[in-house]
Amino acid sequence: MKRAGIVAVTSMVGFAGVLSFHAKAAPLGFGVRVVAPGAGQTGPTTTTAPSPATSAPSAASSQARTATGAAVNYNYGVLSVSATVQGTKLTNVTIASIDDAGNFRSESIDQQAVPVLEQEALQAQSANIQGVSGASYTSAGFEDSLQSALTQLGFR
Amino acid sequence: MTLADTRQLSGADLTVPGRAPASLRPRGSGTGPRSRPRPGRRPRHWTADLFLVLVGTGFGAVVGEVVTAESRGALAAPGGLLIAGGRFAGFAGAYLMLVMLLLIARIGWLERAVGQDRLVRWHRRVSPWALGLITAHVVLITLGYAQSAKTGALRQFWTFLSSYPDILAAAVAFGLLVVVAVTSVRIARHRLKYETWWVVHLYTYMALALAFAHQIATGASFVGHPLARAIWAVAWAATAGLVVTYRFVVPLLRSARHQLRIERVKQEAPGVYSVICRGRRVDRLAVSGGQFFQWRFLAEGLWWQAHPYSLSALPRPPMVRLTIKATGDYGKAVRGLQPGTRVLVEGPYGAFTHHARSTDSVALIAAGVGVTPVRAMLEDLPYNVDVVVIVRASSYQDLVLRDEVAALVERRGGQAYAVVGPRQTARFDADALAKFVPDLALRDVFVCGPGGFTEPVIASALALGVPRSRIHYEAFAF
Repeated sequence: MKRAGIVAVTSMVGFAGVLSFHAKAAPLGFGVRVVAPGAGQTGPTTTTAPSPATSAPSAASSQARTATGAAVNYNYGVLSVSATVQGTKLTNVTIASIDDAGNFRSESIDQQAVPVLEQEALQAQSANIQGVSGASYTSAGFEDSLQSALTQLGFR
Repeated sequence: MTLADTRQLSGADLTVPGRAPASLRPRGSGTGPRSRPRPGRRPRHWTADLFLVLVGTGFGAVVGEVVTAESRGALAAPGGLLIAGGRFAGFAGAYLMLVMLLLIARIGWLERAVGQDRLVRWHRRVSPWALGLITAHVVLITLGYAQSAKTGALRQFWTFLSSYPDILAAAVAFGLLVVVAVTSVRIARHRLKYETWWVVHLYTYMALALAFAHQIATGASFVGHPLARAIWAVAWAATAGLVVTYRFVVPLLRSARHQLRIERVKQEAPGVYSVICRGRRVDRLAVSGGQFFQWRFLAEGLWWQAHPYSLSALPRPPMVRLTIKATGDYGKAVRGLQPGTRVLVEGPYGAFTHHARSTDSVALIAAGVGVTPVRAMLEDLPYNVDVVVIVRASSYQDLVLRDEVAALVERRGGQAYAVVGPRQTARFDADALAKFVPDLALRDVFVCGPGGFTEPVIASALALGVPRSRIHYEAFAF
């Protein structure tokens, strides 16, 4: 029984240790990712699911501004995200371009992940989104590019 | 109950082949400055606890890694929960397999503290959990991704196999693990020849190697976490290094250094033979009385098997001695070994030594050929330890090494008893035990013999108030 006790207690210690390590590391983001230099798109692009139309300037006080984030290499290809801000609200988030070199598996994952990512970003009103299970790389790249777009817009 | 024949063993001069009678000090009867054997290495009892601390912390860290890799969005997505469960099962299952490898790596300091027989039992006990978790991983990941991609489970499984090379390798690995597991279930084990079972079991190494790639490349906890990935890789590399070191390099070096060869085979009792081996640098072989080696006799028909036998005396440079019961094909073949045959050894192993005691009085209880480690331990027990020896055999002739045991006990002022006779008449139960050793509850009790003997004796000792921590035994039925 003493042995079981040692294992149980040290498991909890290890668990707490890892959790606290990640809590400290969270502000740094997901980790190391390669970002393609400069904004803009590279190579042939394929836009995915139907993207919501960029909202036209509506309120008199504010004007919708759109920017496209840096092209990010997300390990299976390159993507960039376009964000539209109106006043203090993030009103639209779309994939501007995504090129996964014709990898059909990547395409199918991205097709499902991208709409979820766009939705998450709108709900979070920032680039701090949870990501999509099974599309870790795409999620990470999406976050990076979106953050780049938001920074350009001076949003948050 | 009556004891058919109980007598106090009378002393005789110690008769270990080729040497003058030993003094009470177990060492010092050599013929040269380098002929004293080295004392066995003392186990550090906290090593078992340290091992458990490391294992527990690692397991907690693994669970932590799994949890922090998930996100609310991911869990809410279709198949998210299943995939999360599958990731946990995979990571935890792989971690348990790493622990299982460490348990049978025969790492010196761990083995001395715990004993090889206990380490193997722990290995067996962890195995269903490891295999269960890995099976759950396969099932949950497939179902989860199938839900996420809105396809059937079988189609999803096929997609895994056909479009991810690492996953195909992992699937082969899983198949190998299932075969290994099936052959290791007790029922199957007993139907297979030991050598067949062992060769199949070796495929575990191949399975682990095949599965490693998919853990590193697609493991969710490792995406964007190069530190975690590096730690995982280092843990596996270290484990592989330990296995190679302690199961291959150390034994080979030891055999090469000592160059043991059969000196002669001598009969001790009906069906019981002593095998005396001569070697080089035997004075450097650090053995504690009661320890055993895995012996591999390089003779026709025997070289591909390794069997565990205790030394029946401390090494007397340049000789070592083991005493075995020559039953079965293997035993009969050992009987016929020719002098000069080379012997490879692995060891010394075993925690059944005087280091295990916590008092200064012991009761050594053995049956039949189980007296061999007791006989070796009698040479190794410190001078001040009080000794009572009880030996059980079905007839007087079957009391193996009785003269040596009696002499060693007499010289140190202990007591030795023999309980002789067939099982029905010579009952050796708690009452008999209490009669021989009235203060049993104050002693360390060492028991050695076949399972049918040791289990009732241990039960009797417990019934007489010996705390479990002071009962020491070695059980090799696995």
